[in-house]
Amino acid sequence: MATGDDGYIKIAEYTSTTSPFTFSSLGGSGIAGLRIVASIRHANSGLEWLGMRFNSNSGNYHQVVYRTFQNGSVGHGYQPTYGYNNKSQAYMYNCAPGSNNQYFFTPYVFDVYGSAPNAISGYNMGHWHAYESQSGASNHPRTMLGTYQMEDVASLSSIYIFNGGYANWQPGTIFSLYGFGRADDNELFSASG
Amino acid sequence: MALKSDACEHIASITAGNSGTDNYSFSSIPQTYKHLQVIMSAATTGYESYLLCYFNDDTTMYSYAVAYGDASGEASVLYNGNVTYAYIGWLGAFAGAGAKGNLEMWVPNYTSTTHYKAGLTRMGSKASNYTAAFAGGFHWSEYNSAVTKITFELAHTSGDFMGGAGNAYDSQFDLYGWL
Repeated sequence: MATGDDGYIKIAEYTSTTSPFTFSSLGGSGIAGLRIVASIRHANSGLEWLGMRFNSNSGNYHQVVYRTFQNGSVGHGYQPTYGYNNKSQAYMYNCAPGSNNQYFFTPYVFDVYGSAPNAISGYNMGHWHAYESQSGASNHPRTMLGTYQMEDVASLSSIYIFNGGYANWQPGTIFSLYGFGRADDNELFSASG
Repeated sequence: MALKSDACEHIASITAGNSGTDNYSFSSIPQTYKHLQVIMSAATTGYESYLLCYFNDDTTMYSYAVAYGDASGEASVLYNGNVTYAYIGWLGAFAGAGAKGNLEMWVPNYTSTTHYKAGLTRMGSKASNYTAAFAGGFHWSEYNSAVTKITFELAHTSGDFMGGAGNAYDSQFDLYGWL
């Protein structure tokens, strides 16, 4: 990333079917935040979660996940389903399963920020938003939301992404990684006065 | 301040006029991006209304689920399947400067011809008699057509998109392409 690239930057894209994979060499690239836009389907037969780890760290993820349920369940069909401390990855639910209608993919948007200004360092945090539906009466549509924080002060250098069911992705799966440019040359985030 | 962005490009803007229109569309969407993003700021001229979305003029086969919170103090969910539109939430009646509905919508991998297209929606809505926030998503059960047109429509028959004032009260839609 060159000086002056202080808008949204395309960093990388992953379209292979192999899980896991890593977006690497993120450190020192002059980014203040990351965004992953994805469309995902996995090769397992059942619903599976998507996991992310940062800097290969497999501990100290604190998170809360919300998911909509069919009307009539507790909380008018909407309830917190997962509140975690000290987990080994950030969890995201669910990926569309390979056993269902082949055309269903799960859309994801995932943002990552650091606690230090203009850099992804300090305890990084993120939030994600996804939607999942399948064919069949019991597979109702659901929206999923989550927020996590990772307790690690190191600058973010890599994101490890894996299928919780330890299967690969279906062809057509795509992960696009973007960066929010930062003030390499004190343009975007500099304060006046 | 010099700005450079090689990942996101502005494709088109729509500002609502005073012709009494209850739907606006982005048409002939370029097929050269990976993902689409829509930013909307809008209100209705009438009663609050469901804000609907559909692709390519197709009003069949949508499923959706929207979590929302309003003055009831308890979160709830809108959901359905095999319906004619994707529901995003309620858009409020005009309630003065700044009090409109604000939407961000993502359409990942919109050029694919091998999977159902989908949207992710987030909206806050403030009206004279209604305030709420929504987070949802939807599938369009069409796999072999890329998204070339996105339409936003109000479900309530007595309301149109607020427009024609020539100021910040007008409903505004912006479409971005992500490379």
